[in-house]
Amino acid sequence: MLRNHRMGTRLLLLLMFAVFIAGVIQAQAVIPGVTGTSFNLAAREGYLSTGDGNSFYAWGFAIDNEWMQYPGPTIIVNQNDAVTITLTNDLPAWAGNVSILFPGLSVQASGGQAGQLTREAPPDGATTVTYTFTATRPGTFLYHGGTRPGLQMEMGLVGAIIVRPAGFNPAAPRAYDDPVSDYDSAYDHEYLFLLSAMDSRIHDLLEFKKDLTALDEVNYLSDYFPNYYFINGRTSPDVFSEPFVEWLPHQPYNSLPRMHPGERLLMRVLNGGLKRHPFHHHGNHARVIAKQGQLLASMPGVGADLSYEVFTIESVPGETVDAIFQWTGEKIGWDIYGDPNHPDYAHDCIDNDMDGYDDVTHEWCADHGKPFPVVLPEKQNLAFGAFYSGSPFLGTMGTLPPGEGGLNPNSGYAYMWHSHDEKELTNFGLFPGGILTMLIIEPPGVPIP
Amino acid sequence: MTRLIKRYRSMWVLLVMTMVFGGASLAVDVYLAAKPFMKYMPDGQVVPMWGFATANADFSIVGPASSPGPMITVPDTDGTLTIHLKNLLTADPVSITLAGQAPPTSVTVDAAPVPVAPVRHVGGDFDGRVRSFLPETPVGSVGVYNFENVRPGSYIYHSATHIAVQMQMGLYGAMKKDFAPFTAYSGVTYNDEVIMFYSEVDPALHLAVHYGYYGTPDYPNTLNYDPRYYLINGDPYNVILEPALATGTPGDQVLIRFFNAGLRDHIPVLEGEYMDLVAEDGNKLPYPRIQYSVLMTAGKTMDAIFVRPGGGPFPIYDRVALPMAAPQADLNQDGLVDATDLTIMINFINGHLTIFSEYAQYHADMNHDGEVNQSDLNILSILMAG
Repeated sequence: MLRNHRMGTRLLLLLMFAVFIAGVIQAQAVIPGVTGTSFNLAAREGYLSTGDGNSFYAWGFAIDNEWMQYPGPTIIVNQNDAVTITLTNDLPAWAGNVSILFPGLSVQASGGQAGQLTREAPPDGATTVTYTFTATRPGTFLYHGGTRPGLQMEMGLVGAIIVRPAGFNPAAPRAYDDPVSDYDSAYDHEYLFLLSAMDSRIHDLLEFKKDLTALDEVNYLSDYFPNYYFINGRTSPDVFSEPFVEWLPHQPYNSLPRMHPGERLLMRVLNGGLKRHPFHHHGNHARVIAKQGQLLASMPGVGADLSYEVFTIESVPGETVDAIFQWTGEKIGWDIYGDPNHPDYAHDCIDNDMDGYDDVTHEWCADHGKPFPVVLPEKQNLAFGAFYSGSPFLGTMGTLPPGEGGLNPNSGYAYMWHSHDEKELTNFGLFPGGILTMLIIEPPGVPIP
Repeated sequence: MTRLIKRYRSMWVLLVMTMVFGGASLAVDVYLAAKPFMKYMPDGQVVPMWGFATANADFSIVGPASSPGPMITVPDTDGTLTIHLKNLLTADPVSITLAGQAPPTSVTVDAAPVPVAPVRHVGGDFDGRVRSFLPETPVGSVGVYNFENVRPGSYIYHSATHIAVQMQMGLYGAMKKDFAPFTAYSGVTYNDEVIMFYSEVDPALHLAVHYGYYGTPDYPNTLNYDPRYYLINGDPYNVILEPALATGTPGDQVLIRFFNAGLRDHIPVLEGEYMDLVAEDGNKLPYPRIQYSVLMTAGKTMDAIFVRPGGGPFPIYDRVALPMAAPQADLNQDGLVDATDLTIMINFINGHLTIFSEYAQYHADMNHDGEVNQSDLNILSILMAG
């Protein structure tokens, strides 16, 4: 039995115009995190769940009395804030000292014990180390374990820091302090993509041996071979679930980027692991505007004049990359809203500001009315993905066999964003998994938080 | 017999204000010898290596070999670099190339001109396949490699012969040429210079080459490359002898020349500071990249300017290093590699010993192929025979 949901389109368009006329669209996606200027972190034990049903032992940073989480709490502060982060070490004694490094931030450390790279907290659950810094520049940063850093990051001690530029306006957000006239770092939605990998053998070994020297009796480190790959601490398909779901108590953050045509999506791509990840974003190029918390500028005050476009962000361990992704239907070759002469798809392309696009739906007017260029095969000759709406037209739900589709309730366009190292699309070898999510281009008017 | 001391692979160095770095400066005619040497690691292991050594013009005096070899400094006023290379290895031919520079315009071996062309295997399984990118200097001979129009920048020199073996054995070093005095590239000036030369050592490969079983079923090739020592400027990090590098005085423009002659990525992070990356592979970047870390892939060179603030020291750590102890075939963990360990391995391989600890299982895998079998026994026997 087949169903037809085309009438939904008209309802949607009605709703869309109503909303736009009211002028109340406020569509900045929020990266969940902790705000303020003073944060109490603790290193604690916990277990991570993966999309194949596995779970294994890990360490992570926790905020206040919460459980440990992977990645650690995303710390969101404002430029020029004097930030204080205190660390206590609630790990078992065999795990040894813990500390935090903040690449790109000039940090003063006090308390605890002297370590090789910074001050360290012994595993007594009481001693505190205090890290202070002034957030002199906006940007995307990492923080991570600094005592035997490679191992501590592998075990999960890693998180993100976002510094908002001075004068940050949530209604017209920007990532950096580039000139407003240049518009380079302005965005409508922002998403975090903290990429990482783990080799569960290391975690299992430490859980059972409870002794770091056990690693000297195996080649897991010299022959490092991760089998799980994460976006924001979750493997696919867990990335699609809501943030803070109760069945992933140590992995609160998700990854499901959404935007409307014509909008600017800020990708904050961080590598919190030990391997490079080629993060390939289908749909369009993205413009890399900043790396390692520095706007790509030939001199201060000129905007991101050294920015460049890529379709794969090379995510290097320890690096952060900020990129602006845009999507319109431009040059896709057909009218993305369907045949305007057909009563089910009737729509205009009105371009009063002469930018080539409809002022509301962001349709590329040059393609207005262009027919869909191919005849779709019969349904019995197609395979369906869970994100397929059944129609090639944005906001239109087409006929689908029973049990197909369902993960794309607004009939958006879905583009896979994933690591292009194919092994990283698996959970312990099982596809699909790992670093794999979907960008959803939502029809105009669909609310995006 | 080998002493056992736990050690950790090199991870970080500290940049502190001590003294201005001064590498051995060589004239435009450079005299090098390729020869074997023994590298004493901080854990007491001794690794056979090959390295370049400085020598005088008639090679009557040859200094100690090292890996990386001596820094070759080409004066900014000179465009021609002539490398006189004497082969003091025991059996293998050798050569030298400068990655990123034009190939030599002329080569002589024992004063006889030879064509500048690759050398191929003749006969056998590898008939016709290239063995050396440049003319080879046989054992005992002196080859003269004449490089013209040498470009300013930071470069890696290395053997151009059987690179998979000879580079891993240690036949590499750094070459630098300034654009003008204290000017690395046009417009890039500096007061102080720091060299950070990364490489790795997998002792299993070195033992195989040294004892002659490389290329045999016991150790066929570098497929199971599994480095256990990560070196900075030729030495693993040592807590006792922390290698502190000079960064001059506050306000100085410190030029950091990064090199990676290893086979793995290294990602040095300058903790808490930024540096301006000014050149990559000897090519000046049109605009500096302002970064706290730098991806050093295999064979890469990068130059950075670090404006030294007050305070310090300034830690640099390798973001992708996983420090660990190096294995040795001390299967009964009595601190010695001796006949008892050989007996244990024989009994295990023959099936007489069913209980074999994880520790022993790991440390008995002499060729790093993931299993303990006759090959490992052959290797241990060779090592025991010395």
